[in-house]
Amino acid sequence: MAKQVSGSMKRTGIIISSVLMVVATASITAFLIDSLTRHL
Amino acid sequence: MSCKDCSTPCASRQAPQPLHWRLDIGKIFRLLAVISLVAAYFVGQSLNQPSWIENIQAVYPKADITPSDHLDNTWEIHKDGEPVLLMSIATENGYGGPMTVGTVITQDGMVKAVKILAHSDTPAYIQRLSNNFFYRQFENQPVDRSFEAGKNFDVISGATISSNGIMKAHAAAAHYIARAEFGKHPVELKDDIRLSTSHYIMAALILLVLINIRLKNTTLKVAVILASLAVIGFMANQMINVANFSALFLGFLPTLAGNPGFWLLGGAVFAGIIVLGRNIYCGNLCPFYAVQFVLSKISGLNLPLHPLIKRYAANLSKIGLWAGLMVGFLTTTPTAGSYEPFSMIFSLQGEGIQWYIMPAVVLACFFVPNLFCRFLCPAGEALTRITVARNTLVHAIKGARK
Repeated sequence: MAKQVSGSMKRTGIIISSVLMVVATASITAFLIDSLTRHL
Repeated sequence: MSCKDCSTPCASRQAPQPLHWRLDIGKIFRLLAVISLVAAYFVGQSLNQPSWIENIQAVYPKADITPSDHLDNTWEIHKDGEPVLLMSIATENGYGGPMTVGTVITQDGMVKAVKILAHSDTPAYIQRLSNNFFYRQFENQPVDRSFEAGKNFDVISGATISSNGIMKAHAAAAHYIARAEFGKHPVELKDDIRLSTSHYIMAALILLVLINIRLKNTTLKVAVILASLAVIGFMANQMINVANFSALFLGFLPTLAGNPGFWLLGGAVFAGIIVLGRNIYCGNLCPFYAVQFVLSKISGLNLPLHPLIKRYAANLSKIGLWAGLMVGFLTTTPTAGSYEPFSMIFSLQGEGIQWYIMPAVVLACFFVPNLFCRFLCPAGEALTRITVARNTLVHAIKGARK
């Protein structure tokens, strides 16, 4: 059975996962731009 | 039952349907992606025409360098107007693509130095060779000396494919000069396929994955995932990444003898797609999936995702695949577009921003299970696209036969 979590816990979870997702995507984007400028 | 689900002929179905034209944004993006990749391929080819004399001049900035008038791919390095050294260049495939090596030879037929003029490998691997004084084993040796790994040639652990690529390029350049300039007959290199323990275990894991397609045994699946982490990840460091796809299009694939692990894993995955219509790599053999699996089990967390992320983030892997291929094509360096943190995790070799990607992705996967596979993996996306294309083609052929 799925655990019941409070609304505030769910909101905190969404905020943490969104931040992590943004950081991961941003670091990948930065790597690709850096790699392109270094090799060209 | 609605008309949509009904197959019975009736007046409503037989009535001529008005033609509707709908703007399909997805199709337009896919078309633009393909056009831009084709353009990037040709732009990259024209931008990256090597000028070897400039590369050689960078090695000997004060010397007067002229192309040899009777030797191919060879330059004369002059001092006080007299040619004192020859630099012969040759190209072989390394880990990430071609690497061009210049062998500097003295007038009495001895190797003075070996220099890398251009390469497509991860810079950290090349740095590893320099740190281990790899090139010194070639210096002060006769130009016709032959090499055999383990006997008179030491590969650097963790950079085996790059080590062998440099050795082969050096031998090709030196042996050419030995024959053409000094009239010697060097022993040609043997290009034998050398299989190691990790290759045999990899083959066994592939076999177990195929068996488990029928058995559907969860315990066996977990065992294979953990074994792939140890063998394909830590022992062989042989993952499928976006650089493999760039290399395929750029024609930089390694030889069977040069990298048998690549052909074993890549061949099995490709055969799995063609024959079975299944991607046997993702979720089974991928060691980075195994890392995420272990992280998820340790944390026991599964943070909820924002509805916008749920809806749109699946497109990130498509964009990542496109961006990885674009960078690979534009720079003609497949590894330049390979942003996956796989290799870094298993070899701890990386550079610059790569050191930020790994902890960011690992931390994210700790809180959100399989986040990289679900939203960010370009290689997984490429394999999925190939599998979908294969299955669509097979269904179309079957439909045409009926």
